[in-house]
Amino acid sequence: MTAHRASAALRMLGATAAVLVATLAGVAASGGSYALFTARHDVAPSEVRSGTAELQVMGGLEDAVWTNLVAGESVGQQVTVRNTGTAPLGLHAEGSTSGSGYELRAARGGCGVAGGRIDAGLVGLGRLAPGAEAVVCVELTVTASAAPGAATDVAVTIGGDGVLE
Amino acid sequence: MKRRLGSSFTVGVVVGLLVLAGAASYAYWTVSAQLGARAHTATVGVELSGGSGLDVAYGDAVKAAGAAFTLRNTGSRDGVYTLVVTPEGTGVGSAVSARIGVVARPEDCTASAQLGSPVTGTLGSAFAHTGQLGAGSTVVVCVQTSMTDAGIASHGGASLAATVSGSIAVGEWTRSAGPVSFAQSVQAAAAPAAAPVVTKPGWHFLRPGGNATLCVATVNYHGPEVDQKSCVAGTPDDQLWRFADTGDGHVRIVSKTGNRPWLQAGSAQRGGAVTVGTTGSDLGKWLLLSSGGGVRFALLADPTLCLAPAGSGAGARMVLASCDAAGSAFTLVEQGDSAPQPVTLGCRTDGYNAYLEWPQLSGYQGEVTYRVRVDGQLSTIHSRAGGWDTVAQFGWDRFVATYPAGTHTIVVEQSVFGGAWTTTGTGTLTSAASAPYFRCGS
Repeated sequence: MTAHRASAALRMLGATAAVLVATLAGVAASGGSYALFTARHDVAPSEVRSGTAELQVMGGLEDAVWTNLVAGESVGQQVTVRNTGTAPLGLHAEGSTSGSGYELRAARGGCGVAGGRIDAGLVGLGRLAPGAEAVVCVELTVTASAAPGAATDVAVTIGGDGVLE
Repeated sequence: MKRRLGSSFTVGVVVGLLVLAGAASYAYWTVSAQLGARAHTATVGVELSGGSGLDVAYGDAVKAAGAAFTLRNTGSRDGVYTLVVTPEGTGVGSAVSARIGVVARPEDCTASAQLGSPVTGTLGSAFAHTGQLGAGSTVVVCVQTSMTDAGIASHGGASLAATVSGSIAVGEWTRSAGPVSFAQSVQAAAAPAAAPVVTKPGWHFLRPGGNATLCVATVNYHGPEVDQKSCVAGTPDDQLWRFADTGDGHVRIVSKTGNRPWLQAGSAQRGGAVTVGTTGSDLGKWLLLSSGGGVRFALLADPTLCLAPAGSGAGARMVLASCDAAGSAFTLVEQGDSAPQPVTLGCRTDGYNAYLEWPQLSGYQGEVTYRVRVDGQLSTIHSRAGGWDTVAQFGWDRFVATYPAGTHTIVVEQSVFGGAWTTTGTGTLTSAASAPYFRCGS
């Protein structure tokens, strides 16, 4: 029994090492976010599945939409996010403005939906299945403390966390 | 625009985590895309110009002023403009009416220009006009101020300072312009020209504004309130008044009721009630002024205030008002005739005495005192000519006077209510050293 157990342990370590080597090799070779996993079915009880995480954003933020804004005004812009990968993604967004006196929010479902303050931290936008699309509204609010006649750079990051189960 | 992540944008951080303890392995990736834009806020600004024409001195010649203010929205968004007139201090401002409205051009703003839908009020407190103003647009706002004759009369010598400022609100932003200052004053009111009024000494009906049917009367006979009511023929004591000389050029306006109280003001305030009482102060003394065919009663304590009814109908109380107020010129109608035209004295003799007689003074016989002048000199004989006695006796009687032989001019004078002496009648007597001692005529 002892020799059998040792043999099983060795086989399992071998399989694990193989997976790690394959992963690192895949990342190094692609230069992108592809990850390749291989697994042997005879490695039990762990099970490894493979997939790709890809996100496509259609549309963008236009300067012209956020021009001539006044304090108290909130103006949103919509982009469409599509999961072009094979793994489901947990969408999220965060952003910032270079000037003070602004608030930046993002909401899934289009403008008019109450969104979270993405300039205060990462805001989750829900899960997006492979092949699915989601409309995300990025809304800029000008507060009274902002300066009239000023310009500010707005940066927004929309991301997704892929999960394979 | 499409952005493909994972292969062309951000490197997905691939972390493969094997959970050895579980029944399955889990792997997490994170992919992200950067989006960016540049936002611009609107410009906000306002300019205020104009405003000349509000520095005036109110008086007989100037009773209103107007000035145009031009507001320009120099910002890049439409906004709500406000033009505020803010008085400094209090006092006369409440007597200055103000109107603010929009005109097409600055030259359309005059003191008397008609303003469309103006905001109205007084300069007793801050006063504002608002409206919409497009980006880059201008609006001409006309500010008019005015004072009434009464206000000018009651605030003579007063002054006020005020500012006009403009602002524009765009969203939660506000920008201001100005202020533009102006100052106004009120010329010291001169007392109305005092044309002497000669009144008869008897009881008078006082008819406000010359109204033939209304007379000043004590309310419920005894007062002390005084109003105007329908005139009553006969001898309605509550509607009868006389003018008692106070010896300083003024009169008391005495009621025939009760113990003869007189008109008095509670205070020298425009709009204050006038009642009857017995004050000895200047609040109970009046200056009679002849004006426009009537007689005005100016209060000695403030000659810019005159007696007037508070309204036009019966029952309107008597108050102090400006001396050009409606009803402030009274028509005086004497009851009876306290100073009739002089008569020729009747004369009779009995061989020793001569008796010069005249008619009783109807309605005032109990109030009259007579005196006699002989050849211009007051005679002691007047002591016999008082009250109801309307005969002067010349002769040897110890109650009468004797004069040297010759012709004498006899003049009888009267005073009603102790007022001025007027001539009752004249006659001529001739005296001799022997009987008959007197004969009528020369």
